[in-house]
Amino acid sequence: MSSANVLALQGVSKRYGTQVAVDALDLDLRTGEFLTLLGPSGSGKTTTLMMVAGLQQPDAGTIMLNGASVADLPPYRRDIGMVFQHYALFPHMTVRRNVGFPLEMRRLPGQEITRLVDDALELVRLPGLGGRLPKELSGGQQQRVALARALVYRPALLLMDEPLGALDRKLREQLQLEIKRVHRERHISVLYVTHDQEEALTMSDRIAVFNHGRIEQLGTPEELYDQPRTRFVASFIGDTNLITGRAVSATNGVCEVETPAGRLRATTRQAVTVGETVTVAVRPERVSFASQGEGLGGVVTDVIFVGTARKYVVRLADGTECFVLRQVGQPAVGAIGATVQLCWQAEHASVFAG
Amino acid sequence: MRPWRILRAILCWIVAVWLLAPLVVVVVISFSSAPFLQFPPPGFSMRWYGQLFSTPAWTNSLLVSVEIMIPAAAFATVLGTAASYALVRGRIPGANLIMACLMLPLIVPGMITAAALFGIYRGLGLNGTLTGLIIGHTVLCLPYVVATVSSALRVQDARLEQVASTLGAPPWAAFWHVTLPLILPAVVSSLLVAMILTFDELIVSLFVSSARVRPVAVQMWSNLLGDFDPTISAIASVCFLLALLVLLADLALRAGRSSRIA
Repeated sequence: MSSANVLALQGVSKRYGTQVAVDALDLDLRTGEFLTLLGPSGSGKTTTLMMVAGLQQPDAGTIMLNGASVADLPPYRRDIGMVFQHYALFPHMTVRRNVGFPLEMRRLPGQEITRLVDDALELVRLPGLGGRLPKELSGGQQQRVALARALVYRPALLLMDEPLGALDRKLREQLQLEIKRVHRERHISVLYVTHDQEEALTMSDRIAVFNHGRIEQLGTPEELYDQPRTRFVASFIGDTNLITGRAVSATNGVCEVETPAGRLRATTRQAVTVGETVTVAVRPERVSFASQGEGLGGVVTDVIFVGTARKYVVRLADGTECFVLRQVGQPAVGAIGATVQLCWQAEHASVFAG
Repeated sequence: MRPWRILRAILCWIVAVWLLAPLVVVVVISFSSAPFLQFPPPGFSMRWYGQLFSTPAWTNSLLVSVEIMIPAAAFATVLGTAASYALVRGRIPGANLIMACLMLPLIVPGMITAAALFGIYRGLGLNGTLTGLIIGHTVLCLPYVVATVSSALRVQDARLEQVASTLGAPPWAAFWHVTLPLILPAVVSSLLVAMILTFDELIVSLFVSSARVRPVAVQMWSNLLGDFDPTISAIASVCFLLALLVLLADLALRAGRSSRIA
């Protein structure tokens, strides 16, 4: 285990009764990295975060923080900061006292506390509000205070549990950028939990996609988007066309698939047996219109203008609806009712068993 | 609309008069110049207050009541708050059962509690002692404290303690800096209620007090059984004034708090 990892989880499991919340999880978080746990609710991501914080105990496995096991350490002895979804500011304390609280607990001298609190409020762009009570602030301001409070003592690891979940979209996007900026400026390591795939793509260095207590895939946003290793990842992140067919050949990592609408080619990301039913995933912006005679045949059923692009809805022979995204400025292709052929490069499509 | 409002006002006044009239009569009689209970009094005098504060039986009993009230209310508040915290926040097997047991003095007739205490104290030699009275009154006040404080704890967000913990606060510090300040109004309220309760308490006091250690409620009781004079209304007025002060203090605390938060 190199010291470059601020956090390492090995075989961590957690059960609630008979339900497995987290299943033999391995995960490393590099120092200075922004790692997001992404998944639907109940997939085990928050439970994982709670175990790292020490607010829940794993049934099995070890959690190492800064190279040492934290099994015997209660939350207040772990070198972590945590931001919760519902801000959880202390309602009876002013903003200054909220932010100063962790420093008070660490018995820092008053002058030092004043300096660090000023510094932290500056960092989250809230100077001048120190005398207010939490309920006198807006939701976005409260979450900035919570962020300042979790950062002020420079913990080795910052944990964030859906911190923007309670905010409206505009504020959420603004705070995403703020959190990224703070992450960059302070070189902190962040373990971030969200169910919002756009948020994960925007903010993360790496993303771990959770499903049923396991990591389906761990990688950079680009890897997850362009090379999903499972059907779940392909459909959970971004818009995807899923086309069902039968594998007819698989050579050199490229699989040929027979569908009622025609033959297509896709990259094999997991083992596929020739002759079995497979699903092909391809992003709408990777699909192009082909000349007659090749690709999948279909009929345009709708054309939707979405500002920067046009979205074509194409119904294939077996009834599957396939989306095609074309940047505005490219020549328009066919109107509603037109017969078209769809194709893509094999490397841009992924094939999964089942 | 209008007739209803008038009717409501009349009803409110009837209830107020109904509740307050006896108190007013008692207070008025305490300033009477007549040597027996007579209403309306023939003249004004302070003689019964003079009588009250120059009779050792009365002054001693007042002192005893204060000596019981302060520790009993304090113990009940501290123990009740600690018990509420453990029962509401902790994962204690049988918490509901323990809670029910703490509430028992509220349900069991006072006579039964008193007799039970008397029986236990006989073996321990606590009958007729200040210690015995303090313990007995603490037991009687506990349910009020537990009911008030535990409901305040249930309303308060338990996650705040988790947050404090992640920020480096050991459990004791999290309680002291976060939980206690948030439930303080309930704690102070139950302290004040406990004070009023113990000052007023008669049944347990009757059982476990003695001629030497006699709280004011017992003294009033025995005075009423013999030939009584308006001194009794003077002491009643003093008790009433004390309770009123405590209630006003509670109101002032609440008002101060809500104006600070608003």
